[in-house]
Amino acid sequence: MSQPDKGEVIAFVKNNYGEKIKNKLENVHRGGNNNYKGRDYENQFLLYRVFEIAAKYPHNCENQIIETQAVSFVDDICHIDYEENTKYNYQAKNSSLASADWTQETSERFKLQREIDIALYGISRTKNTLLVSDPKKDLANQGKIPIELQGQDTSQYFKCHKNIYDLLMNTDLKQHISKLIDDTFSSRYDYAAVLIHGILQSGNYATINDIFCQAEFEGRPSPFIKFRKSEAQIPKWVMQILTKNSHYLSYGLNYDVLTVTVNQSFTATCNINSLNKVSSEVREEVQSIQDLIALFLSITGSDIEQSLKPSTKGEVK
Amino acid sequence: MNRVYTPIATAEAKRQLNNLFAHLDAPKRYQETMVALGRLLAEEVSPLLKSKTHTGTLIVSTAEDADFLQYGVSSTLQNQGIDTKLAVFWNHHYQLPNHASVAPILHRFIEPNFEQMHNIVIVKSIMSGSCVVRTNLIEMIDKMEDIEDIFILSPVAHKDSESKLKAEFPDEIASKFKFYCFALDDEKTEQGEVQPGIGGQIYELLGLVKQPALSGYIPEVVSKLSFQNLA
Repeated sequence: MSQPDKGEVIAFVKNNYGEKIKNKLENVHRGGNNNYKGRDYENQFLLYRVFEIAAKYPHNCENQIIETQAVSFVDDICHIDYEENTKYNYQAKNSSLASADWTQETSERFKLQREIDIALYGISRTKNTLLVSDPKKDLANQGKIPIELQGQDTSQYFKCHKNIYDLLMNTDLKQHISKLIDDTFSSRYDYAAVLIHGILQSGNYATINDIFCQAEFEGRPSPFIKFRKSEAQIPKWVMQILTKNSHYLSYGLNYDVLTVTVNQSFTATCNINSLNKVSSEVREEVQSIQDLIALFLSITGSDIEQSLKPSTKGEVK
Repeated sequence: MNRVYTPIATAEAKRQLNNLFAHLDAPKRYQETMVALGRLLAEEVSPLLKSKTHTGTLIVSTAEDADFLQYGVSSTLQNQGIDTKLAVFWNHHYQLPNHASVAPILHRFIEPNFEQMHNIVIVKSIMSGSCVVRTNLIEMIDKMEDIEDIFILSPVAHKDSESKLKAEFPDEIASKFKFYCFALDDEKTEQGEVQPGIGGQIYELLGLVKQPALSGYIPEVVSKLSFQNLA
């Protein structure tokens, strides 16, 4: 799964296609780095794509590589799916002008990229996509794809949204996130998206797994409970209080989070592992549901304060 | 460091804003001043709410503001005959490594039947960025089918907070925003604290030590509404 570095890619292109094509590759890369106008659009799609992949492989994202602005002829976003031995390359164009047109150069770059991917990345299949923010352009582009590229390469419409909330509400991003967070809080979907967006800006990742490990480390709390494992049960002394007040409350244990709702109005959450560590002295003082909810709030607060202390745990190298 | 008073800043409102600075070391007095500011803000919006066909209003507050600014607002609206429901959120407000502010909700109190309300009043002791208000609004707007107006009440705001909040929502939601504050400040510290703002960090000034999401603080209004009939 090792990736070729920038020098290897440039050397390969120079040796196999000559100086002129090598210069072209370097110009594509330089252009991509300077394209601040299109960056927001690329970031939106990157965020969407990361969740789409994570939702597809919620328990094994280590074989999913994601890269932006690679040294590549199709360089905006590259995703290698080693489970399916496929590399997906995206060229993003947030424009209604000619720059979003499928041209002969698009076809040439897509063909070259396929050859490079097979030779240097050791994968069997490449799928290139011209991503456009204008639906009319997409329609027109579909008709311009040469027959030999059809079935492998495509044009795709992806709207440029005003903000993350808009992206969340008007795409199936929310559905992808729902497979990772198991939460009914509406704002939790937004938090999940903003958190991952922030991590993607840092650029300190190689795999989808790295991104979510970092979210686990940076999130206070991390909303991605499905990446965690927990076999802890609700302690007996807590069950006694919950069953005694069962007419007034509902509760549920999802992964490592215990949620209690009192009188259909006050919902408090607590990490089950932290709850299991409560001392017998504290336990004895918790007699009522009010005491228990107060304990939940106190444990959650102290868990977060603990996570704020400097540590290298979970750091992505 | 410039402060501009808005047209709704009456002499009494300015006096109460100055009182905040006079009570920086007196949490009880500071709390009372926030209640008074809440009352004054509610007096500004109540004529508009009363004139509506649907007056039912959901008041959205952070845990730290619930017993003070929120209390001033809700008690005034209720005295004017406006039907209100309450939502209180425990946000953990912090910055991501890319400096984006986030405020995930850890716990929440939402009165049953809030869905039937047609207006939202968000109260916030200070509007700096738009992060906390944005989060709490997102939490509610999905669940309310027919929102007519969204009022944002804050004694003091940073001059850019209104445009920042609007930029975070689609136009059909942003067009429902109605901002009410008495003073606009134009400076922020590196940590995002508005200057002179409300004189510092709201938690310490109210005597709460730190964010309720970290301390486990439960506002009295939430305790009363949640636990009064329980064993």
